[in-house]
Amino acid sequence: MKLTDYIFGSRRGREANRLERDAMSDPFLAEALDGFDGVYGNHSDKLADLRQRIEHVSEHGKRTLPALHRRRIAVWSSVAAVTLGTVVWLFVIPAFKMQEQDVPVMVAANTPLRMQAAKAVVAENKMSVRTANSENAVTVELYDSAAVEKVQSDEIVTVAVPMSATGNNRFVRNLEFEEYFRQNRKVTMLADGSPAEGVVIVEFRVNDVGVPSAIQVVSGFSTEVNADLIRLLIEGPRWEPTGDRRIRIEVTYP
Amino acid sequence: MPDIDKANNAASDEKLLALYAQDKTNRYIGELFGRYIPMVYGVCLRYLRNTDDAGDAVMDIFEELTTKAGRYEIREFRPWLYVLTKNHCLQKLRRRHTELPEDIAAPIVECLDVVKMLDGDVEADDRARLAECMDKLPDKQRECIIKFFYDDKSYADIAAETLYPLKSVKSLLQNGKRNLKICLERGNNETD
Repeated sequence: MKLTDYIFGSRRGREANRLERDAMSDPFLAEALDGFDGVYGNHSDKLADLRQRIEHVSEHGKRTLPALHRRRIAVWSSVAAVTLGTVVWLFVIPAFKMQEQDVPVMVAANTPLRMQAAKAVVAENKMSVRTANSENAVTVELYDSAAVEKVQSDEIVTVAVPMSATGNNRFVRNLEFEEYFRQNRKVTMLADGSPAEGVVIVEFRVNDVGVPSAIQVVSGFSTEVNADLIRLLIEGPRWEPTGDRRIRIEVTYP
Repeated sequence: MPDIDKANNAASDEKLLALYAQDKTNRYIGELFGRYIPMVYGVCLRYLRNTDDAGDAVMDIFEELTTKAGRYEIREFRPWLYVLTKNHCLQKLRRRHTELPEDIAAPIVECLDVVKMLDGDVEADDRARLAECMDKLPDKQRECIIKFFYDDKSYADIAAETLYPLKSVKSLLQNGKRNLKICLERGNNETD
C-alpha cells in the first residue's frame, strides 16, 4: 500500500496493517505517518501542488519563487482579488443574474434507477429536458418532462436545474479522467473475494491548480474502492478549477 | 513526469541517481524525488508543524538534493534522503531557536527485536519465552498485540473491534512491545 493510499484512505485491512508494521521498523515512514496524523490541513492539495512545482523545476530547471516572495504575492493577489470581486459584485453580476439561474446537471441515464432520478428532478422542478450524445454534451433538442421516457439507455440526459435545487452541487463529466480511470483503476476484487462492482458518487471542489480537493464519498460500496478512486482523482488529469463550488461525479466499477 | 521515458518510471532509485550523475538532467532527479514527496512532506510536517513551512521545506530539500546528488556518492538513496530531510528540518528549527518538543525528540522506532520476533522471526527457545512474556502482559496490551501481529488487523480495525480510541490502541501496542522487551531481557539476564 502506498503512503498516500493509507493517508487518504480508510486505513482498514491487511494492507493497512502491513504499512503500519513497516513503520515500526522504518523511521522514515514512521515519522512521515506521524507528521500527517499530527498536523491538520488539506494535505492532498499540498501534495498535488508540490508535485506540480517539482515537475516544473525539473522540466524548466528554474526554482519557483522563494517562500517570502510567494507570501508577498499572495497578499497582494488577495487585495487585488477583493477589489476586483467588489467591482464584479457591484456592476457585473446584476447584468448576468438571469443566466446564472440554470445550471446543467449531467445525469447518466443508462440504468433504470438513474433514469428514475432524472425524471424525479424534472418533475419536481417542472423543467425542460434536453438530450445529448454521451461523447458530446451539446444540447440538440428540447423536450417536455414526459419525453425523458424516450431517452435511449446509452444517452446522457442533461437537465437544466436551478442552482438552489442542487444545493450548488452538480454532476459533471471529465472524459480525460474517465479514460485515466479505465486505465489505472487497481481494485478489481474486494477483500472478501467478491468482484468490485458498483457505482460510487464522489463530491469535491477543484483547487486553483486543477486538482480535486476536500473529496467526500457520497455513496459507495467498498472502502477499498473509495480509496482507489480518491487516489485516481488526486493523481489523475487536471480539472477545471471550481473555486468554492463543489461538484459530483459518478463512477462505475469495474 | 510526462516527458520521461516509461522505462525510467520503473528504474530503481540508484539507476536514476546514476543517470543524473552522468548528464545532470533535472528530469531524472525530479522523477526520483517525486517518488518520495509524500514521505518528505510528512517528515517536514512532523518537525515544522505547519503545512506551508513543510511545503517550503520540501522545495528547499529538492534544491539541496540537486546540488548534493552530483557531488556525493550515494549508495542507498532512501535512508540518505531521510537523513537529509531530518537534518534540514532540525536546522530550520535551530535557526528559529525552537526547542524540539519531547514527543518528537523521542526515538520513533524502538523495540525492533520484539517486532521481529512478533513478525515470526524467532528461534524455538525464544518462542517459548515470548509466549511466557505474552501471558504476563496486561489484558488490553495482549489483546492489541495479538490482533495486530497475529491477526493482521490495522490500528483502525482494532479500534473498531475493541471500541478503544485509536490513540489508545497505538499506545497499548507501544507499551505492550516495551513490556515484552523488558520481560525478554530479564529472561536473558537470568539465563546468563
